[in-house]
Amino acid sequence: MIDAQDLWKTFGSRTALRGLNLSVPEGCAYALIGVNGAGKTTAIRILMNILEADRGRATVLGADSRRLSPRELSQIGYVCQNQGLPRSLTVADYLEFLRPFYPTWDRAFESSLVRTLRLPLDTPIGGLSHGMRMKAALACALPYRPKLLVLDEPLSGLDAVVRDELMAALLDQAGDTTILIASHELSEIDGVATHAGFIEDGRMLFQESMTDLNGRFREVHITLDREAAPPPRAPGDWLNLRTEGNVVMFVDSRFSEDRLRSEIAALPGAIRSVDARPMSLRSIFTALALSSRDAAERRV
Amino acid sequence: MLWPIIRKDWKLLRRSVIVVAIFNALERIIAAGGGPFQDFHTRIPRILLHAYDPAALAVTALLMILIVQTDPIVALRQEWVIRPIRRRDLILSKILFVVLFVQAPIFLLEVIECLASGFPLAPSIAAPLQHSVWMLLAFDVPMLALAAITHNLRGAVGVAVAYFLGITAVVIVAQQMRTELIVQNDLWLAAGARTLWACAAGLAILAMQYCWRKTARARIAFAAMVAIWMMLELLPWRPAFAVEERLSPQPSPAGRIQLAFAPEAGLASHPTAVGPMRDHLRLMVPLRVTGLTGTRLLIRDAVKIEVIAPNGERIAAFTTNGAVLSASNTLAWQPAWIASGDYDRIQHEPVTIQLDYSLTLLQPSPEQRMPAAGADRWLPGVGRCATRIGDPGSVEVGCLAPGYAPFFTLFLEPHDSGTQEAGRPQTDTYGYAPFLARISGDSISRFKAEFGNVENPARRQILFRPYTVASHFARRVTITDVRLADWRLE
Repeated sequence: MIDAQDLWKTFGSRTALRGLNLSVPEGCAYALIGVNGAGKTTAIRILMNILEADRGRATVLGADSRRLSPRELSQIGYVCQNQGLPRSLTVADYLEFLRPFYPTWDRAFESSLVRTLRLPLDTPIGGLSHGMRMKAALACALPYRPKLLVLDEPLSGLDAVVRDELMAALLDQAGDTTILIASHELSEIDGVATHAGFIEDGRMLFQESMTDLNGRFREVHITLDREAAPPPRAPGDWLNLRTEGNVVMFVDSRFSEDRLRSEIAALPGAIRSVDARPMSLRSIFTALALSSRDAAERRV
Repeated sequence: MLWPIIRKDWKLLRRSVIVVAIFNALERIIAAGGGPFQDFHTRIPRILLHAYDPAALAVTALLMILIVQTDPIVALRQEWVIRPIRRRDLILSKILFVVLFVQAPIFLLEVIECLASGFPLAPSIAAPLQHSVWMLLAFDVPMLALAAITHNLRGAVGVAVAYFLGITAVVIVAQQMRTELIVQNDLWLAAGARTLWACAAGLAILAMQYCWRKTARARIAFAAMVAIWMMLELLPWRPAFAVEERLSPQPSPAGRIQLAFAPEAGLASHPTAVGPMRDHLRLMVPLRVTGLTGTRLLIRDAVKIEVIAPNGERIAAFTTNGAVLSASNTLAWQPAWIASGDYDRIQHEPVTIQLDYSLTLLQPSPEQRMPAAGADRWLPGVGRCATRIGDPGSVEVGCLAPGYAPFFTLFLEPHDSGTQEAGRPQTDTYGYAPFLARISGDSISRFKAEFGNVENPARRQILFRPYTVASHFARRVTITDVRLADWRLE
């Protein structure tokens, strides 16, 4: 559905993307995650042809992202945090403007979305709260039942109630639609995402299915019979290694029971218990982000 | 899919469209309120009248920038990019919006103004139509291009101001350097070429931006467009003249007309102490015109004068345009300003003076008469004219003409007699052009004339002799082996 190879983008002296690769399979809900400034929005803007990459290429729905024709665009829904919706138009006016451009526009679905999201149709978009504007943007992106829905921080700055409403609308859409979502609100998209890609410093650190991701990440707590000390040569897959009393804690990023058993055998002292808990997407993201930050600090 | 975009833009911009229409309507009311004698204008401070035209143009330009920037190109919030909108439809819808909601109201207002001014229906439509088309090509399209390469209204205004100041600076420098920039202003071919260029380049920039969104290249292209636009002021004279000649309605009558140096009429020069030509010496070059017969008139549209020193050095001399010659007065005095330094250097050397002329031959149309007091009527070939008794002993004539200024001469006649007492050309410009090359103001040309010391004006009548263009042609006069010192200093 989306395939990007070796994308590079520089703004002045700042390089936002450094050879980013991205592959979004059809039918999945792909969570693009990364810290602020990692390059998520730049990547999405390139995919949507809002920006042009300095190098590399991307295809969206099989077409070169730089040459998306009305045929492809009529099958793509795009919502971003700072979408340039015309502020002086009412929601109703804007929906009326958009309808003729989408052959598959479903008026009944539009009405249902407007009702569900409780959108005030006669209010100018500029007069809506941020949350309402995001709802309006979503209401403008869903009624034609796009094959691909691209969401760039759609939940940012929204209160919990609005986030739930938006996610409910998205979940209704999931299944038929391939979704690419960049968001900081990882707890909300945890249940939705089927795939995840982690961007760091303009590169894709990894991308895989949530099943694989959940399978290989574990938050490990090892209780020893004595005061714990960090092992002098910890395996590279252990992230955020720390100790607290007689407990050694880390995130195992390539978890397998046998492997873990052999690795922790080198710890000084007798092991009283081993607790390897599955992690949420948010915890995985936090662990990766902290690990990256620590690595960067060590480099400095 | 043009109409959904136009309908959306209308909803977004209708207030601005109405404000601009009101602004233009006020301008039309001010203009129409003057009547043939432009009395209304005398009751409004001159500065307001002079400021209103550019202000109306600026407001119109702002609207055009808004029209483009409702769907911005140079921005990251380009909502239209992610919608299935054809780029071609977007450009066309913007241009169509300008035609429908900017130019059409101006056109309608001018039609109403023309009809209210007493013009027949056909010229009341033709003149505003031509003015609107000219405005669309020369002003609207370049403004749309400017809007397409800028981030927002502030950016567009900033760039426009920068270009305006830049162009003004170049013109001032050119004037200081005594280049040909000033004297070529009257070439209608240059005006036409500039307009066609501005329109074509503007459309190319719009296409470049909407289809490829190459802002950096489009900005370079815009700068190049402005530079070439200015360069077109400096069109080579002879080819430009030749084209104008080929486009003349009747080239043949001009074939017999010749200009020759006439030293026997006397050679005189005058020093200039003030004004832009200070430190220059004005030489009066006498020229005899032959082949001008009957009541035909000859207009000197433009002239380029060069003094060629014995070593081949070419010294540009300045002059003014707009002299009129008739069969009864075939001696023309061609002024030429030479810098005092140049004059001192070569005054005693044998030099060649070369004069390149762009000329227009006018032939008379049927004459028309109307009473010298209290008349007000439509005169074919002239316009709507009115007469009245002004200050004691004077007769005032005021005319309004649709479109480009017609050329005519006025004579005051005794009543019931064919004897002409006075005659003089009356027009707001001497330069000839086959179209109204004007973007600001309206599509009406205005003239006023006054005859003083008229006895018994109520018993007199005004004779109008309108002229039409017969041919447009070029002539070169080469005066060899003369000395500038031969011109007697007066």
